[in-house]
Amino acid sequence: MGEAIVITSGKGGVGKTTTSANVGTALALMGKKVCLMDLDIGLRNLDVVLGLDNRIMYDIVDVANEQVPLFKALVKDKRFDDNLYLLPAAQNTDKTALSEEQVKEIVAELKPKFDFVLIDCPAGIEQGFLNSVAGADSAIIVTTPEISAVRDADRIVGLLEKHPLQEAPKLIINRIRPNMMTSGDVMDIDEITHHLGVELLGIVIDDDSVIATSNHGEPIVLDPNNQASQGYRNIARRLVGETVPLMQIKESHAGLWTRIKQIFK
Amino acid sequence: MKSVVLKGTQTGFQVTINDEADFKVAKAELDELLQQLSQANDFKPGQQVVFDILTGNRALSADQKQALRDLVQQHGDFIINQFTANVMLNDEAYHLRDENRVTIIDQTIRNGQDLRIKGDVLFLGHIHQGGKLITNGNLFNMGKVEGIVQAGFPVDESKLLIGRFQDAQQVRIGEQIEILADEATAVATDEQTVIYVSDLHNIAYSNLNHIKEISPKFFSRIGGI
Repeated sequence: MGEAIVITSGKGGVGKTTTSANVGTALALMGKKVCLMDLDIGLRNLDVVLGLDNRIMYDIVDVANEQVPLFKALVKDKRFDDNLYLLPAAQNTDKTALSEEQVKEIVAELKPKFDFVLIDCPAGIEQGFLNSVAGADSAIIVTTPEISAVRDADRIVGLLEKHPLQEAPKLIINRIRPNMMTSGDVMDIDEITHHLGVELLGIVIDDDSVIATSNHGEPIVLDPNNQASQGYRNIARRLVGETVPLMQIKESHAGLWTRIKQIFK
Repeated sequence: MKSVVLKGTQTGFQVTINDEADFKVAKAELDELLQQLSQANDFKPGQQVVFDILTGNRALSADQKQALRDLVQQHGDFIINQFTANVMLNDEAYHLRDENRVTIIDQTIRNGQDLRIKGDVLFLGHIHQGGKLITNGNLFNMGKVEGIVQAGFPVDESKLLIGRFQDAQQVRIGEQIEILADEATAVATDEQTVIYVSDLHNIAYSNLNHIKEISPKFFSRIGGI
């Protein structure tokens, strides 16, 4: 029996979809069977980030309305053998097209077939959020070191405390800029974790190539040497129960010699 | 035995309603009694006759009390001074209990959450920005407040906030609201800070040493002389 994990944040643009895609891919690379479920109905992106957008035939609303069986709507990612599947969101309707009961049923149907069901939650705390949380066993809250994202994460933690899932939520701090954190311009990792009172699952350093690769439909985790990729891989390893030390944030202090070399590159 | 008994006292009349009698029957009997009373005695015009109603082991609801008040007033210059009973309604009892207790709260109040309490509060937890703690009593803070606190909700300006509130977004007492970021001088960081509403209906800051002048009632309640 697999585990259903909702990836949520409250605020938009902090990297829920990117995190879903990358953690899902990292788990698939480790040999786990993963189903990614996009619940951002009307504004779906997960398919684009994974490069599966032109393979979609049916979507989650078709499944919920029993127009097609579940397996027909699943889009297989051919790069990862038989390990990664996407259940795409519908694009021609909105969040109210699904009810919490329908999502619960779909998740319950997916869980026996997969090791992980990752639910990509839309921004906000309306119906889309309620739907996403309904079927989940646990939650991953994504935030960035910005105060607005932390404030919204705080709200989400509060909502999840009111209606607890089976497991306590975990935290990912995304898009960390090491130089700003060391200079004290943004809250640091300990401050955020302590303030929210949520267990830290991992940190991801902000990197241009995260955006660049997702534009090609290739999650960054496919590049093993990238530091953001390592962040996502560590998160995946912690999810399967490994103990992985927290990545050190070090600012890439380019020395004089390196800078000179770069000029002539 | 009659269900309504009238007795004269120095201050007025006492009506005892037998607690075993049916209320409708008792009301009808009281009606009759008042009828007789107003005919038999010639009260001076303009003189108010005061009744105390004793109900024994029966608590009257607000509606029943109002019905009796209306009934009594129909018979001239009669007025009910008070209802006395040996028992009280659960609601009243809870209200009384809530008014006079100190609730200890040790929890995190997060952004978007508001916690409403009755009575005084001893707060040991953490209020995050955007969280609210609202009470109709006083608030004693030993925790960390970064959100909004309100004492004396909704309109009681005699209540106090005691403790460190310098990190709060707003402090409210009754209807008075103060946005701490707008304050010219920083709020005292002393944990003995007392925030109260002054005679000018402004929120003012002082110290526990001056609690006697600020709120004599509160001072005597906590055991001061």
